[in-house]
Amino acid sequence: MTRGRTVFRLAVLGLLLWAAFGCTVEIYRCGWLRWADPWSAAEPGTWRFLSGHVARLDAFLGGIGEHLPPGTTVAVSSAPGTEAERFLRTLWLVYLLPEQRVRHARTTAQGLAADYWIAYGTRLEHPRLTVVDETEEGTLYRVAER
Amino acid sequence: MTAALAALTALVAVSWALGDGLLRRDGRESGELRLVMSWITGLVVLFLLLLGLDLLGLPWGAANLAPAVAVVLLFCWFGDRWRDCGATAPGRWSLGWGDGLAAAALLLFVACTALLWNLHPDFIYHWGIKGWKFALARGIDAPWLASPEAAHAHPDYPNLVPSLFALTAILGGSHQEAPVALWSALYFALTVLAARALLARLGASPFARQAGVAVVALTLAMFSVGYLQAGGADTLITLAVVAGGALLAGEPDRHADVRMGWVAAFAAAAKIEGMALAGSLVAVYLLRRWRQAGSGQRLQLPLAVIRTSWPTAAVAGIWAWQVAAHGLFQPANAGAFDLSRAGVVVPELFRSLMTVNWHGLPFCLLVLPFLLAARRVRPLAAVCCLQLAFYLYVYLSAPVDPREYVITSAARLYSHLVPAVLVLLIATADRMTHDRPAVTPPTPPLRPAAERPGR
Repeated sequence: MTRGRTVFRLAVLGLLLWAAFGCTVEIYRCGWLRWADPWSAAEPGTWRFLSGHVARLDAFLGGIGEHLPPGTTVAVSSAPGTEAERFLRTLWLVYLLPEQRVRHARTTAQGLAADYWIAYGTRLEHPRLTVVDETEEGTLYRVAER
Repeated sequence: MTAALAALTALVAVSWALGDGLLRRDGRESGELRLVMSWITGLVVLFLLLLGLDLLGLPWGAANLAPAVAVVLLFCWFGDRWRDCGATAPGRWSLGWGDGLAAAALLLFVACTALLWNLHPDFIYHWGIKGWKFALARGIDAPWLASPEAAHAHPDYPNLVPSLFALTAILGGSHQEAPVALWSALYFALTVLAARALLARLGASPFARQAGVAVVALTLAMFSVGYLQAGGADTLITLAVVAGGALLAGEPDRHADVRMGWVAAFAAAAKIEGMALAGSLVAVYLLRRWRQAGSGQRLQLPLAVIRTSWPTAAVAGIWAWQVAAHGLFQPANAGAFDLSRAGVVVPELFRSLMTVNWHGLPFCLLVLPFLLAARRVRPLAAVCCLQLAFYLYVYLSAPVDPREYVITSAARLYSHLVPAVLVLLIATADRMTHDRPAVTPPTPPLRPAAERPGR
């Protein structure tokens, strides 16, 4: 075997070992993040599917879901987090409520073009909003017609 | 869960049967490449059938899909008897230590995916929600895609991935994440098989083949778990690049024309980036075919153009019609080319090479210009360069914050090319340091179709 060939084999084996090391690290890290669940409630953009925040959100929706007929439009306001993070929380609700048309709403001042309104981690006050269901996590309102 | 897994298994089997039935035998095709091409073809055909049902206003489901699949399979069955089916290769598989490592990496990926540890964030924001909406609508939910609520979900993207999710959910009778995310395991396995075929076609030594397969599989597992890629569409582009590379490394002929057509359509059906990839795969392939054709054979080139282009034209044509008819195009996907953005984009692209979950492997992309000098790997290296150039063009033209855009996407886009470039690198270095002149593996002897058992 030539010297070049030996160098090639050593280099490829080094690459292989490096890839195996990287693979092990990533699987370990992924598993650790699954169990440590270090994500902040204020940063839904970091949440993973099995994180506790998602489980709480899902449980909340499971509780109020019976009041939300399929096909209805649901506006969502939430807290905590920046506006960008609140929007991402709405996207989690879009995913978890596929039968409804879920839209992001910053405040009631933008208008009430929805059948229902979910306030997650916050409360809303508006004469056209009537509380339908309430839990520690949030509130579901029905939007009265004008 | 059991019903959803059964639906997934049935769809995987049906897609293989469709592809295997439609593709004529090519005596020079290895067993692993045959599997890869069958599945890629079958998935595109299944998608075209779904699009056909959608265009006819028929709801997706077993009642409407089964007759359509049966018609295609009957066509293949009778067609096999009417035409000259070419010949079949002996199809021997010799497995080695690299295959064992690759299988272990695949199993780890499957385990992580089944546990939903590595579900793609875009599964929530994009692919998964589209799949559930399509399942509920029993077809492509154009009204929802056209609504402001879907603006975040890339309504103007091609729909192969969410359509497969929807079909799995419809046939399985429920919306569950793990069974649909496991589609990614199929793409993972096919990418490894395609890498194996590519190494063989590049004339790599047995050691380089085994090492190359193991490196590709471990790299896929590393990034797909660490960067959460299960349930996304990027793995399809990775597969299309490697599978297209295996075709580019072989002899261009009418069999390769057909296969390249399906691979390009597969890429185009997966993502917008795949549309560009389809174009460069077909262009590089046809250029190679034109250069290798003798003066007498050039008359056949128009037929080759049709064979390589019509599947992509079908997928892209229906997609373009849907986007135009429902007003789905997003303004953020188009903008004026602005070279001044390079001052932000290029440094961020270099920073993305060091993304922690990649462990430095994307640095292999920097050797691409040198790989263009190696004749044997030049076609695939050219495709990779064109794809990188496309990404750079998008970064320099999209009307969004370029820094944020690169940070949130570049590491993922590298995954389209890194496995293919690693294979090219290993094969080229292997050839350069070989003790004896590298030889192309001998073409297996062709057996007439009539002698093939069981057909």
